[in-house]
This record gives sequence, structure tokens and C-alpha cells, in this order.
Amino acid sequence: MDANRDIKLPILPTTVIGSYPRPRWLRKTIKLYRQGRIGEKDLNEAFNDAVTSVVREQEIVGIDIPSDGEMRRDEMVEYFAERIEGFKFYGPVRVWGNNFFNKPAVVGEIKRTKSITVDEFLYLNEVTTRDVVKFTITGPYTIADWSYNEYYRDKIELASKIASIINQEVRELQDNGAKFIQIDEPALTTHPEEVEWAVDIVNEVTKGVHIKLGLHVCYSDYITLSKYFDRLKYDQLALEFANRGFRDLDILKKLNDIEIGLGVIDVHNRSVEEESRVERAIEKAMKYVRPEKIYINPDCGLKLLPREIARRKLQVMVSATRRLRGVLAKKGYSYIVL
Amino acid sequence: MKTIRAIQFGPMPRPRVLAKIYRREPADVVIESSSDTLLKNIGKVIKKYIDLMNKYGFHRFSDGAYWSDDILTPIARGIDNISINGLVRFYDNNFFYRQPVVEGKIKSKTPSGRVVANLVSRILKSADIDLSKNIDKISITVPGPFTFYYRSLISTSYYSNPYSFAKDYMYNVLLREIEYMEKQNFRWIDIHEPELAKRSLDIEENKAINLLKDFISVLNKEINIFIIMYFDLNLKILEALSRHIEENNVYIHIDPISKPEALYYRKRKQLKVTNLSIGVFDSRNTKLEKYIDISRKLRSVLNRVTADNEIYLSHNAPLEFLPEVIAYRKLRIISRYTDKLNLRLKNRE
Ligand SMILES: [Zn+2]
Repeated sequence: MDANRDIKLPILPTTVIGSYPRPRWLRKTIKLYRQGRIGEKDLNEAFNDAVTSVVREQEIVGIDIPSDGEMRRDEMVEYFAERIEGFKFYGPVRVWGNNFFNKPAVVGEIKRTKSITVDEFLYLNEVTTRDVVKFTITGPYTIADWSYNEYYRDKIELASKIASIINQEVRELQDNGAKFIQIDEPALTTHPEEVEWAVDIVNEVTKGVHIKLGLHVCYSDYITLSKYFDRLKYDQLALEFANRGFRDLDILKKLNDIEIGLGVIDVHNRSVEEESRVERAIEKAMKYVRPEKIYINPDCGLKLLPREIARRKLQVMVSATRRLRGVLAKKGYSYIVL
Repeated sequence: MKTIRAIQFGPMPRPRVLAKIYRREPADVVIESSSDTLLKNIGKVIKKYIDLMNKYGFHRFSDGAYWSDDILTPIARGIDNISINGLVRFYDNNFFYRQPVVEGKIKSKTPSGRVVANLVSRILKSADIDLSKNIDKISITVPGPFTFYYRSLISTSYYSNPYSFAKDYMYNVLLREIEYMEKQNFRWIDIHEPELAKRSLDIEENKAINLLKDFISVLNKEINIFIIMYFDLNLKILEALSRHIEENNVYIHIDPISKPEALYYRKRKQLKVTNLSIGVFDSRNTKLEKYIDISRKLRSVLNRVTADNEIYLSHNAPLEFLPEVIAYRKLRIISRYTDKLNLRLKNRE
């Protein structure tokens, strides 16, 4: 927004959703740490080095707005719950197959006693060579939905408490120089009867925030979500479309002034997309949205892919985008401001 | 007043040790080709669980369904003209199952190894437990016809509505399970039907219940049919059940916890089924219930729904949505509360 007027980006800026595969050596280092064979200092150094290398990797591939790959986060809700007072972990619950998640329980009043992610952001901001990075924060509704509520009267009360904590966090990031923050809300449409108030909860996060704010909602019911587009106080919506074969793109008509972060890469499929397919998808989206309102990204975080495949998928995404930029340049579209 | 009994149903949380084993040898191939080591390892987990269920005094319980990633996949693999698709959210939980794709008329695949009851029986035999003392308490977990239909992708024009599918599923698939169960002396089949609990049901209640009724009428009365509805509460279905199904071997489970307001919707008059199981303990929250709150809840449920014969107490939905340690604490509370309640009822007489 206003604070970002001086940041110029090529038309159709390329970015990521957030997570990136952890380097193999980092996974080994984490294991050593858990076994008590190395200390916290070594682990932190490894995290920093991993961020440096995955940021650089994104930059080499040609991503305009990189992230830190969420190298330090095992899981998006767990990470925040561990750093907010009032949460407790009883043990893992299964999400599918043999994949577990440490689902937190709210057992007392939740409080933000210190900043949760500011150091993480500062490190990312220091190592990037780009003018702007994307920094991701898990949204209040998803944290509430993926927790057991033992303490608050109901889910609305819990979610609004979390919203105020996330809002404090975002404002502190803003004060520390963040220019583009994305709130991740994959759970937003899980309970259709709750979306009505959930939208107000996610809007709470935007209070007093002047930098660019994105909202990422994936593997969700976009028809339901689109009914609330005009109530969302976000600058950008990052949505997944490759996974659904680019169906539902017509909902983009309802976006009005909100930008779209267009998901063009399937993150659950190891086969690398054809460049032409990505190009066609972006062209199709341009039927509904003006090009200066479109950012290009994968569907979701890349962390479940092998690192080499993640890199190659980003490469395809960047080169398809660059081809289209050539076409757009002839029509007078070259740059946008963040 | 008669004795109220504590019961358990559905999959238990998978212990990490079992997940580790399954990563080497997946659970969903347990069907025919599984090694003895795998069966033994599952057997160890089951023994620990069944010993506890007996210690807590549960009247009946599932085998824990430790062999399945979700309740749909194992039975789906045993059906012709069904393939398995990608992961899909299971109702409104942060839990995903593999979606069956129905590609044509369904019928059981021929080898008996593909029957869920056979799988359970093989695992139980490899566990170090006295089967003669337990087999009549252990239930077989299967998805109900309507839940199967609505959780699947129907990619054939052969089934244009849930009723024709339900009929084939009951007579071609469930019946085979039940026949196998009889041979092995099992007494309980748990038919999971969260779909029937939905208030936004697409199904015509009487039509659905009549199909169930016809099916039940052809079954051996020695087998107890447990129709388990959860995640919501549909009073219209309950009413249809109370009107059409009077068999003594049919048990109805309701979940008055997930959407508490559903209990007060519509009709004022009290509904009565033959046997009722009330899920007053919350399997989707770690908070341990206080007796006083449970008593209040139970009273309000019994004002709306009651039973001619048995009344059971249970958790509202499967316990696999809880961390393992909490699931066991809940089971202990269910058993203690039931004992306390029975003592109070007895003293009042
Ligand atoms: Zn996502």
C-alpha cells in the first residue's frame, strides 16, 4: 500500500506461498538436536544457513519475492501455539495415513509474552538481495480450528483472542520493516456455517496495518469464499488453482480491487508442469483480472516435494511468466508497484 | 431402573510405534499379503487395548481398527468396480481419507481375504488374548451405505441415487461381512453413518430407513446391528428409526455434543428407539468432562430421546481425533461415570 509506493516489480511478479523443502542436511541436524547430540546454538546456525540457501535458491531461479521457506517451522499451527502462552500439547493426532500433527490444546488464557517471529523476519530480510520478501503468519481462525478449546466459552471467543495476538505480531513486523505479509487460513471454509464470523476474525488481523497483506486459503470451497470477497480487508488473495485443474477461475471476477496470487503449480504432484500449461492458465486468469492485479505463485507451500522437484517447478513457473511478460510489454504493461 | 452400560466404538488413536511399522509395511495391505511380523505387531497393540477395555468394564468395544488408515479404504479395496482416489477431508475434521471412486455396479471381490471381518479375525488370532472370552464383545467397524455413497466419487451412471447404491452395498458387501462374522462368532457390527446424522441431509428419511429395515429383517438375529451416527444430530432420521425399526438386535447411537442445538430443533415430543447409545463424552475435545455436566447433558438428552430396552453411554464420535493419552483418560471417565450412575440408580430403588 502507501508505504510501499517506492517498490517497483515486474508485471506478474513471481513469488511463493511460504514453505520450501528442508535441505537434507538440515533434517539430519534437527534429528541430532532432538537426540540431544547437538545444542540449540548449532541448531540455530543450521536454520540460518538453511534460510540463506533456500532464499538464494529462489532468487537464482528468478523468484521476485522469496520467502524463508519456513525452515524453522515443523508445522504451521504447532509453531505458533508453542510460542503463545496458554497452549499445551498432549501428543500427536493423525491427519492422514501415518502423518501426525501435534494438535495443541488451549488450557488457559492465551497471551503473547514476546514476539513470535520478528527475529525470523529480520534474518530473512537481511539475507535476501530482493527489495521485498513475503513473510507468512498462520491465521487466527486456522489456529483456533486446529486446536482443542478447553478454556474459552466458544470458538469465536478463542479465535478473536488469537486474532488480537496475530494482529500485534503483524504490527510489530510492520514496525520492523516488513512490506508484505501473508496470513495463512487453510481452514477458513471448513465449517460453512462459521465463515460468516470467521471473516470478521481474519479482518481483525488487518487493524492498524498499512503494508501489503495477503490472505492464503487453499484446498477449500472457493464458491463459499467468493461470497465474502467484498468483505475481506486484504490487498491480495493467494489461491490454489492448479490442483483443481483451473476450474472455478471465474470467481476471480468478484475480486474487485483485490489482487490475486494465482496458484499455477500443483504442490502435491511430483511431475513437473509443462510451461505451456502454466502460460495458458495465466492467460485464462487474465480474462477475469487485469494483469497488474496478478501475482504468480504455486498453489501452496512446497515443503512436501523433493527439493530438486520444487526448484524445477519454480523454474517452469518463472519462465512461463517471463514469456507472458514479453507479450504484455508490447501492450504497454511492464512494471507495477508493490 | 435397568443397568446403563459403557461402550466404545470406532478406530482408536494410532500409537506412534505402529505408525513406524506401517511406514515399512503399509496397513492397507494387511488384507492378504501381510507378514506374520506385521500381524504380531498389531496384535501387541490390540492386546494392550483390549486388556484395558476389560479392566475398565466396557460392555462391548471395537477392535480399535488399528489396521486401517480410515474406515472406508479397507472395505473399498474388497469391492469390484471401486478404485481409490486422493485424499479428501473427512467431514469438518482436519483428518483426511482416501476417496473411493465408484466406477460401476459394486460387488465383493471373490477371495474371502478381502473381507474386513476376516482381517480383524486374523489380527485378533495373532494377539495374545483369550478370544473365547472376548469375541462376543468385539465389534467390526464398517462404513454405512449412505456414508460410503456420499464420501465417494460416483463416476458411473449406474447409480443415479443413493438408494440403489445402498441396496447393492448392503446385500453385496455388508451381507458378506456379516456371514463371515457369524462363522467366526462375532456378535457386533458397527455401521458408521455420520452421513445420516447431518441435518442438511439429501436423503429421504423414510426411504433410507425402510431399506435398512428390509436388510436387517433378512439377517441372523444373533448379530447385533449398531447404527452409529455422529458429527451432527438429525431428529427426522431418529424419528424414522423409532417408527420403523423395532428389532431387539438393533442399536442406535447419537451424538448430542457436536451440534448441541440440534437436540432442541423441531419436535417437542419424546422419541423412543429400541436400544440407544448416547455419546455424551466429547471425542473431539481434550477437556475431561465433569460428572455434574455429564449428568445435566444426559438428562436433557433423555427428555428428547429414550429407549425401550438398553441404554448405553459412550463418546460421541470415534476416539481417533484425540491424542492417545487423552482417549484412554476419556474411556476411564466413561467407565467410572457409568459405575457411579448405576450405583445411584440402584440406591434410589
Ligand atoms: Zn496452502
